[in-house]
Amino acid sequence: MKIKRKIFLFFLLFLVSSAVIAQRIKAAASLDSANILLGDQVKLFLEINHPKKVDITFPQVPDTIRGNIEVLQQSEIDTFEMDDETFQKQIQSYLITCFDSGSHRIPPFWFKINMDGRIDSIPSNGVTLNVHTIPIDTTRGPTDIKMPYDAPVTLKEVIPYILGIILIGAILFFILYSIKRKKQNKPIFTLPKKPKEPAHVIALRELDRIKDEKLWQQGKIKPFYSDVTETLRTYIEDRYDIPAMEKTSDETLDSFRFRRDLLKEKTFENLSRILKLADLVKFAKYTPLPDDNNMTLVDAYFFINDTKEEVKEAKPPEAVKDDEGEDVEIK
Amino acid sequence: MNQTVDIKELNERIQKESSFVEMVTLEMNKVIVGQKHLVESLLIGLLSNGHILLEGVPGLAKTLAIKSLAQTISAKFARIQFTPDLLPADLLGTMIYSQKKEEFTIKKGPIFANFILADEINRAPAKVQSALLEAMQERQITIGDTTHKLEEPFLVMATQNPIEQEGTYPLPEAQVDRFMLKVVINYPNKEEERQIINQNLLRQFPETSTILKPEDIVAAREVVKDVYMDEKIQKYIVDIVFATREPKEYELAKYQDMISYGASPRAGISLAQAAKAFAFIKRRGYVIPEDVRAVCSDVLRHRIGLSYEAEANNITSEEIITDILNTVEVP
Repeated sequence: MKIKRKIFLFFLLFLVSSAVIAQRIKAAASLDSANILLGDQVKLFLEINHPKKVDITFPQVPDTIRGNIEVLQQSEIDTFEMDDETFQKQIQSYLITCFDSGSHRIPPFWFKINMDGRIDSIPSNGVTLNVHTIPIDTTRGPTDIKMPYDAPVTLKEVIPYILGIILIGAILFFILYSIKRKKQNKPIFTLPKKPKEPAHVIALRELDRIKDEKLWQQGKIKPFYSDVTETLRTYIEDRYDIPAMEKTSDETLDSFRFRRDLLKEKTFENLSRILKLADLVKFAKYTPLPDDNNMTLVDAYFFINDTKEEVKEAKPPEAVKDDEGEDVEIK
Repeated sequence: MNQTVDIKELNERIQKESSFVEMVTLEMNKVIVGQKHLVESLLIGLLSNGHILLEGVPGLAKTLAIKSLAQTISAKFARIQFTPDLLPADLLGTMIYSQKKEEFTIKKGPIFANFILADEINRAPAKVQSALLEAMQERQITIGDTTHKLEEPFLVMATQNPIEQEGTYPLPEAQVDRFMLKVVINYPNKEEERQIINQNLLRQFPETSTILKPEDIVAAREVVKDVYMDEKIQKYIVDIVFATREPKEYELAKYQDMISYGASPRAGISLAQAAKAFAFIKRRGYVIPEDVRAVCSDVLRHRIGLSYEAEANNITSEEIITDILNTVEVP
């Protein structure tokens, strides 16, 4: 008899505890606006607060509720932790619209709950959606039919066009750039050039090389004069932008003659002497005296040093006197 | 300054032998106002044994120039007006039957002269042109069974009308190539024009004096051959000629499709000979790059074949030559 009583009490306790849990589960339905204009869209939220250990099955919402409320979109179920760690909230939203004016009652939705194998269901509350028509001012008489509103353009729609325009622009730029480079006889792609040394630095280094090679001392007078003039012509080309490599000696001298501001009288005579002597050696089998060879090299050095471009070196910024304290070296 | 014996001797020889150039120029300047380039070109042709093709509007003293040159040299001058009905026999000569002697005798044509002005060469049909150009090349003429050598100096100066004129037979490229120089004559300047009018109004027509014999010219040609041309200059000439054939290799890719054919090896030979003659005129025993550049346009302008693309773009052979001279490195 005692055993029977114990079993009855245990079964009663189990039922009571299940009922208590069931009472703590709360389901609700809500609208983000209860009043809409005909055809407007509104969100319907279905939410349920329940203990984590309870399995919930959301109601199956049909495409049309009550025959006149249309469901347009359905969201995923979002789950939120509650302050009480054993509880959680689950929400699902539906985008709905209605094209019938009047007050429409949305019936409660039934959530299925599974408490340790015991199946039950719990309803949400019902909600009312009031659909209003646009008030017509009959006093103004008939009016023209308004054209449909343009749907606002979204970024997603515009992006392909923007990308297309950018792509066409890039292709056009590339074509024009290639034509321009081709006209200039330059390759389409070039690696950035290293900053060039000043013309006089290169020229002086070349003259040093010629001096060290001692060409005329070995009887190579023609190569000596060819090297010296080539160095000077390259220097003139870089320094004055005069295409001396493609000009004859007279033409090079004429370029300076027409612009006397570029060279001093003495420097001009120096250059003239070098070029004319070099022409005789290069083209007329002329053999100058050793002194002439030395003089040519000296004149070449003089010409470059006298015409070299002065590079303005950046002055270090003056130290600002700080009266407030001593400068401390940070290590 | 000590100079190698060969060049020194050659220079002295040329100084001596070329003294007549100034006298000839002075004599011609008495008769022809301006047209320095024409006179210089005539002398180059004469000294380098080449023929000249002239292009220019009528009335620019072409006939007077060659007639005066003939008078100065005491040479035989003939002017042949080329017409569409001209026959080779009218030019070269023919066999005439003599009833008295009862045999065929040779009647020599006007080509048997030292200086020939072939006026409007492109008005005559191809067979007459060929007859003249063959005589120019071979320097001999065969009439019947007999071959007659033409007297030296033999200089042909042909004038040409613009090709687009009606009733003209353009010279084939192969035949144009036989002319050493193609000289373009321009109008005189204002001062020269005024001087010409003045001379004509006052009926003052100065005459040239004979200062040379044909043998002197033949001797001078031998001296011109001895003018020293360094291998650097030869290389420069080769570079210029090659630039007309393969412009891409000389950073002139823009002309790759503009040139249908480049200068022939005969152009290279003519350029070297003309440069030597120019150095001789300038009383120098050696050739310098200036000499090559001075004669380059006249030697090459008729030897560069332009493509349709060049014609469509209004590119002239002169522009191409100028660009080549500005691009090819001067030794």
